[in-house]
Amino acid sequence: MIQIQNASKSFKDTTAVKDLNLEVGKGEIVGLLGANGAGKSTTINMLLGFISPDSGTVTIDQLDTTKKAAEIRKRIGYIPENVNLYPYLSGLENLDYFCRLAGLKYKKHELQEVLNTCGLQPEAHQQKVSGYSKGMRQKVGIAIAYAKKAAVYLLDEPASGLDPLASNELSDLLKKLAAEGATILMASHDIFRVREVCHRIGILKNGTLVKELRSEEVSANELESLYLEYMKN
Amino acid sequence: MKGLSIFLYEWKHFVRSPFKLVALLLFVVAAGYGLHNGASLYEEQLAQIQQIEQQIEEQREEYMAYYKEGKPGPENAPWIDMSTPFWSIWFNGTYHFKNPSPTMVYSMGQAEQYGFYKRVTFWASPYDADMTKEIANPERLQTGTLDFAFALLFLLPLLLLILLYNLKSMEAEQGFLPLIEVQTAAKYTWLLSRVAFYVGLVFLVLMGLLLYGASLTTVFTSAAGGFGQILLYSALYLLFWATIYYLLLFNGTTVMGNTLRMVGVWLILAFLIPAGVHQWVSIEKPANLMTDLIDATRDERQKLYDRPDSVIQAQLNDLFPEIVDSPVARDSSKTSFARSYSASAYVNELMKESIAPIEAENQVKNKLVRASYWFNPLTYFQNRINRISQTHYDDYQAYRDEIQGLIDRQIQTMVVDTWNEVKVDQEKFVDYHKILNTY
Amino acid sequence: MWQIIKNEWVYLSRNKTLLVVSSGFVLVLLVAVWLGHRQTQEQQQRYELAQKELRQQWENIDGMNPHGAAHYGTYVFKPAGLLSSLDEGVNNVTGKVLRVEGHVQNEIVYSEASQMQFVSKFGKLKTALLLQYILPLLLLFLAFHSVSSEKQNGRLKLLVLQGAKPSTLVWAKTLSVWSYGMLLLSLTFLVYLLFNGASLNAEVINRSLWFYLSYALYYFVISGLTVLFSARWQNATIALTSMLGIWMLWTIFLPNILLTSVEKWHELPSRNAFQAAMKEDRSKGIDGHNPADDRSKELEDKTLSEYGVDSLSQLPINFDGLVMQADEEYGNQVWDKHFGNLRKVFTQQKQSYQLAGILSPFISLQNASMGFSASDNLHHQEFLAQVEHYRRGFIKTLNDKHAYGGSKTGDWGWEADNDFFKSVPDYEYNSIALNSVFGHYIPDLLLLAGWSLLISLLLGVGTRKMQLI
Repeated sequence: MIQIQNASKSFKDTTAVKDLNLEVGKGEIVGLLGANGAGKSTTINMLLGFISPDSGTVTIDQLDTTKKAAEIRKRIGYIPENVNLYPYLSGLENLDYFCRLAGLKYKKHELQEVLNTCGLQPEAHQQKVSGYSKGMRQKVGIAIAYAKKAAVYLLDEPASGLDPLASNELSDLLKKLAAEGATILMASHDIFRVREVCHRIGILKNGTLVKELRSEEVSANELESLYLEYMKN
Repeated sequence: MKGLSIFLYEWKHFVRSPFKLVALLLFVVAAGYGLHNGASLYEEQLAQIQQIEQQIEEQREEYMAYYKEGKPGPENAPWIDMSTPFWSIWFNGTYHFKNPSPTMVYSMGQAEQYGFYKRVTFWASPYDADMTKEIANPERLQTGTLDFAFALLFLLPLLLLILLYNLKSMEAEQGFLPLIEVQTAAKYTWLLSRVAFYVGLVFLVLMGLLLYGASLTTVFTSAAGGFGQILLYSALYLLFWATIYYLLLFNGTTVMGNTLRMVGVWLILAFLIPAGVHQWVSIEKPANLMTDLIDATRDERQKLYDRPDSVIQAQLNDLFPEIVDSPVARDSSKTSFARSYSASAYVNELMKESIAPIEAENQVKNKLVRASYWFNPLTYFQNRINRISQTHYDDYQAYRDEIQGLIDRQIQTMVVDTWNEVKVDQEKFVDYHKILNTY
Repeated sequence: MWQIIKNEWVYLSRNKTLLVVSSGFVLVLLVAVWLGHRQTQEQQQRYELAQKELRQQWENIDGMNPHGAAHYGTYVFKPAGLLSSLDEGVNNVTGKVLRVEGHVQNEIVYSEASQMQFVSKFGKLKTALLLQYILPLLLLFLAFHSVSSEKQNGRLKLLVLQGAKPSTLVWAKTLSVWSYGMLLLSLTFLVYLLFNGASLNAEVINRSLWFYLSYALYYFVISGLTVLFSARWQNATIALTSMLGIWMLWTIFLPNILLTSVEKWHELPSRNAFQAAMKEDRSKGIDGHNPADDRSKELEDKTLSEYGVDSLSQLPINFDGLVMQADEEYGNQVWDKHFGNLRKVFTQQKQSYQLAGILSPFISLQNASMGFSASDNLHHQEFLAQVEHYRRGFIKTLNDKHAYGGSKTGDWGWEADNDFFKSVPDYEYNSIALNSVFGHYIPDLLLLAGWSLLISLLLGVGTRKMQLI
């Protein structure tokens, strides 16, 4: 479970996050919408333990992300905007390597199963990643988190640059993970995808959570109008 | 366990990088070539020594024949009398060699700057012109031969640079370093394991090369200790560079930045600091033109000859108390002749006195160089390796000291036997050979 | 093109890292020029002092038998050439002192390198070290992302759409990087000229200009090739690592491997074998110190008949002087033969090594740099030949005095007076004129020019199919 309470973070004169309060429960997908510089990535980085808040608390499963970074990272799966893997290794080898980094050792067929679960075509497993599309790399990225049996997934613009089919596949996968009990926080620009995948949506502006709503409360068009209204004001 | 896993997986990263593979291959070729160069110099020196030993033996046989035939010496040189200690010792053909160490295969060091064989006579000095180096192309000497030490000291840091330059920074540039951090939870252990893999790999390569080098000469049978030492220093040197590069990688974020910094450190340590120290020592203590030694060999020596007999005799008596009551000393008709034969003894003392300041000055230069070791590691390691391969200045200094010892012994024997009117026969000739050739 | 070059210079002048690195480099360069100058001065002073001391000793000879004086001999010290402060060449490993005496041609001994333990593999901190090893690396670092960065951030497309030809762009980048190298090179020369203003002459200026030209060509090769790599490779890192690989190959690997190899292809004799051969040949001539020698007898008969007398005592001259001179002349022939052979091998080695410039322009640069600084083996050999020429004149003067100075055969106690010894000319070093040896460096210059031409061609051809994205 993700808990952010009154978290603030500034870089020199710029306030990246201000008094942020956010909770994401087990089996829940929460989307953070916001323009560039709204504080989405800072929030994700605080959760990853890469940066610590100036004030407030950021916890995952009641563990402080800064103080217990190593412990927390064992439970987190992270999918960045661009999953750039080792281009000279195959998808399978990349997955194997990243699992080993996490101290996990799987048999080959188990790794293949994970890749299949995450939607990567079997014929692509042995191909070098240098020949992968962005969507394929994203799938390997999710497979890395999945193989780790992550309880919490942090996604930073995961659908950016994906074609509609790949983006749709990603949405299905996230829903499946949530159904299996994963806690998912996703930062994105993509209003429609967020509306479609997430249970709850937060709109960030200048580091402040200006609006929080459940996705079934609004249609995609209403969400867009609401978002634009907040951005203009 | 996780560290070990990362360590082992690095093999895949390595074999998938042709640039790194080629670099390693090039290094092995260069170091192997260097080992062959070292072995070749070792063989050449051994062969040269054997050839000279054979020549001396043949000449000695020729001179031995005079005793057998009852002749005083060569017919066209009537002044030679082989029954006197002077001529008998003169023609005994004493040579002193600096036998190359089998560990020369690893470093030629300063071996090509000095002679390694020297005919020892009463008039010899360790600074004679025949102590000069072998005939060689000075441009090659200046550039330096590619020996194993060169590969180790200069190419190994470059190899390590190529093997390590993109670790961590590549992941950072490609944006998946955070993913690695999330996965491994200990970014620096991950980096350390990866660096350790290459250190291990290079160490194994070095070990293989050192073993191969040992097979080219007789390192294991006659210099096994040297092998252990060279292995130790190679490992220390490898660790030294690995630590520097690890720290640079630890702090660096871009491949280019890391490469530039690593090359920069290499340039500073391999080029600028040693060259700067060399220039500084050269200004502090410029090359000695040996004018004092020249004076000793000409004017000072003449002054010694011009001294009154009583002064010369007193000096000889001081140097060799055994001659004070010798048969010649008691017979005034023979002393003048014996004194003239003993001239080399006091000239030798003069030469030793003139050489001492030269060697002291050289030692001051060495001290200056040693004082730079704390910021000049390459020079330190090169000199350590030269010591192990017995091609260091100090090894040649020891060789010069041995030569001086043999000169002293030869003069002592000649003077004492001359003043005691020892008649040399074949047996004595052989005795001289035994006494004067063993150090 | 000029606009692009100007723009590049604006970028360079505003790049703080480059300014810091350049300032550091210039500082080290200035220190190197100054230290080199100081060392040369120091060395020259020592040289003059030693030479003066030796000459004084010679001129102080009150009376000595001329042949005794030939054995007493004199010494010649190898002077430091003015340009050796730029490139020391072989001076560190060659001897410094050469004994000049009768009967024997000594080897030059007491090299600086033998007077202390190992310090530096690449020599002293001389200007050449920085100009040959460090400055090309600076150019490389400057050039490797010059085009690829334009590609990576999409500016290249924009530039081409604005009408700039890719080849013009690549040429402009090359010239701007090259001009940076030329700026540092020119600065070095300026400082060098300032330090050595008083001792400049036409010869030094001539040599300096060729030295300058060699470096200018080499810098063009490095700048052009790096920019070309930057244009051809998609990724700046690949351009950098490939160029670094080439730099290592050219600068570290090939010179070492090839120079060692040419010495194996054209083998020099061992000192022992060389001396034995000399001794063997020499034994076939007159032995000046052995009256029983057959060839001495022949000369004696010839001289007696020439003067129309029956015995040596009747000769108006000292026959011993003639024997000694005949001995010398025979020895000179032996020396000419054997040292001629050595020089032949050295020449073969040099020619082969010069050809290696086809593989590495650095080799051509190094050869040209040492050559134009008068500090290569060729100049060293010329110096030795000069000293031998002096030795022959010196010994002949003494032998002639011995023969015709008024003494009679066998009169070893006869002494020439102080005026005679004062009249014997001292050794005077004549610096070797570049014109007399220039031909030896034409292959190096041609290869450097050839490399420059090749790079120019590649810049033209290689950028035609350059990918803009």
